[in-house]
Amino acid sequence: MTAGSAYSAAGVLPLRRDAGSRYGPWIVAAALFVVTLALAATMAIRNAEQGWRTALAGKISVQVPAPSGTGGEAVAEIVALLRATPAIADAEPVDPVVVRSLLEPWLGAGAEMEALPLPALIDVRLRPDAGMDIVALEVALDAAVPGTRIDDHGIRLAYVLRFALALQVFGVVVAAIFGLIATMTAIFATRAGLSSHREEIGILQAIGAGDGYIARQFVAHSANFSIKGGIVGCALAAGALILLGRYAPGGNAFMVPEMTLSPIQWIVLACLPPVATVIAMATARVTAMRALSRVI
Amino acid sequence: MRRPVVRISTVTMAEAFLTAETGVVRLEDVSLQYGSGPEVLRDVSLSLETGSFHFLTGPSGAGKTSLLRLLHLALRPTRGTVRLFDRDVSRLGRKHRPALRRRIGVVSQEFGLISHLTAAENVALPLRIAKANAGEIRENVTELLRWVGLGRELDELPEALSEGQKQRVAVARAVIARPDLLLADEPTGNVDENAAMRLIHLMEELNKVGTAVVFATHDESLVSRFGHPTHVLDGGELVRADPVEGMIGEHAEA
Ligand SMILES: Nc1ncnc2c1ncn2[C@@H]1O[C@H](COP(=O)(O)OP(=O)(O)OP(=O)(O)O)[C@@H](O)[C@H]1O
Ligand SMILES: [Mg+2]
Repeated sequence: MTAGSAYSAAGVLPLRRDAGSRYGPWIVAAALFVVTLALAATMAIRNAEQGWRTALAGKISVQVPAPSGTGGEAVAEIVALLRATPAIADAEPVDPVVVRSLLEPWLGAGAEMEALPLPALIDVRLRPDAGMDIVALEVALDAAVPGTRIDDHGIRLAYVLRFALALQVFGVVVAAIFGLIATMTAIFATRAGLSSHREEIGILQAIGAGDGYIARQFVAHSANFSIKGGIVGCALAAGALILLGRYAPGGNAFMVPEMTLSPIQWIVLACLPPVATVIAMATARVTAMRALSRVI
Repeated sequence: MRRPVVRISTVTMAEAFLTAETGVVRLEDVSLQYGSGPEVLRDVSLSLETGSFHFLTGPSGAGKTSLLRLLHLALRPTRGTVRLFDRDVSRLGRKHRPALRRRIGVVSQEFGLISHLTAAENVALPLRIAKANAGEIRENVTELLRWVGLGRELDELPEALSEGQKQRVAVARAVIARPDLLLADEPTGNVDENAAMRLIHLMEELNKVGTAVVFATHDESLVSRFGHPTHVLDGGELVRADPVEGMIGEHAEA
């Protein structure tokens, strides 16, 4: 006697043998692979955002036009002016050698840079939350040394952050769409099962099975393929992320802060298969109960 | 013959006592139409007591199956009242249906076995639906299938069983949860006379344990060999009922 399956609550409807059931786990796996990657990317960008903020926020640089023949007087005047401004924490002229090295890639090594009227650069750190009026400062600096310009990293940061936000929204939308695909797998599997097993369902109803009992068959089936597909999809995505992490540029190359996930974020990603499974189960139940209540 | 130990029942003693007083089935001037078609049952009044055994006969198309489907809550009467277990079920909502159906066993001509489940699994279904525990289910199913002579076919799929064996599996499934009412629609249609006789004897055994039986067949010669009250349907009307004890109805003297 088959002790195990014969009398336990195992599948009364042969849902796992349905043709479509073979693809169910793979569709869920593919969908969850994308969901995991999209959410990982979203979280990584969110983490990076913090890096960009600390790297760029609170900093401006000031360009003083080439002091042709005037020595460092103009630069010194501007530095003094900046240091006297209460909202400014620090102002430091950048060594002209550094300025040249920064330009070298564009001008070519050995270009006659000595002869070029390169502007002098001053790095300025603002006091946090000082509420600096950049425009007013620029007017004042321009009055002191005509042609002095402020390069506000804050503006660049705003663009970067706006783009980062767009990427995050995009990531969430992609995750939502593929999450929906995973959910729809449960709807399709349930609908297909309901129609292909109409006869068995009729028999079960005839012997007193309620809608809840029949729906449970579909809930169990959806749970089965969702947990399988979810684990496979998530594991593949984790593998892809770890592999990708190896090629990520470290340090500050290209101002790309490290795109890493915190332990909590890894845990969030690991929760995707069970969460997807619960959603699939709920979806299967609602789908089955609604379909069953429509037959008289 | 040894009786199966079947302890699963939704009926309490009080309920059993109540149904004993008032009857299992009471039809009052019941008429039935399929959609806007003709009346396939017309002014049928019928009363079946707890633990009684009734035959329902009549020519093909007389309405036997339709009457049983009414009793099984698969159809609603167009007019009149259907009472089951002293409850008016004429307009019963579908969500109340499963609980009542668990008190009714059905055997149809097609047997309605689930093809991918073994004989034992098919018989176990009503108990599984009633959430009995696995050990209890195994014990009862094994015992009942042995009792109907299928002790060696427990793990066979329906396709591997003969018609007579399938029929016994269907009967076992119909009675495993000790229903108060057993509805059998032409269960002898596909089997030889010998098997048919055995089946009826089997149902009589169950009947002795307290299950009311309604056995529909167009085979009047089969019916005549047993002394049970017999109702004859023709053209949707109850034209004759052999007056045997256990039956009450206006047509009794017809
Ligand atoms: N689903 C249906 N829709 C419309 N008419 C039906 C339906 N089922 C049965 N009928 C009609 O109801 C009448 C009674 O049929 P029913 O099946 O109840 O008879 P029966 O006595 O069981 O016959 P048989 O001995 O052949 O099984 C017949 O005229 C039949 O055509
Ligand atoms: Mg019939």
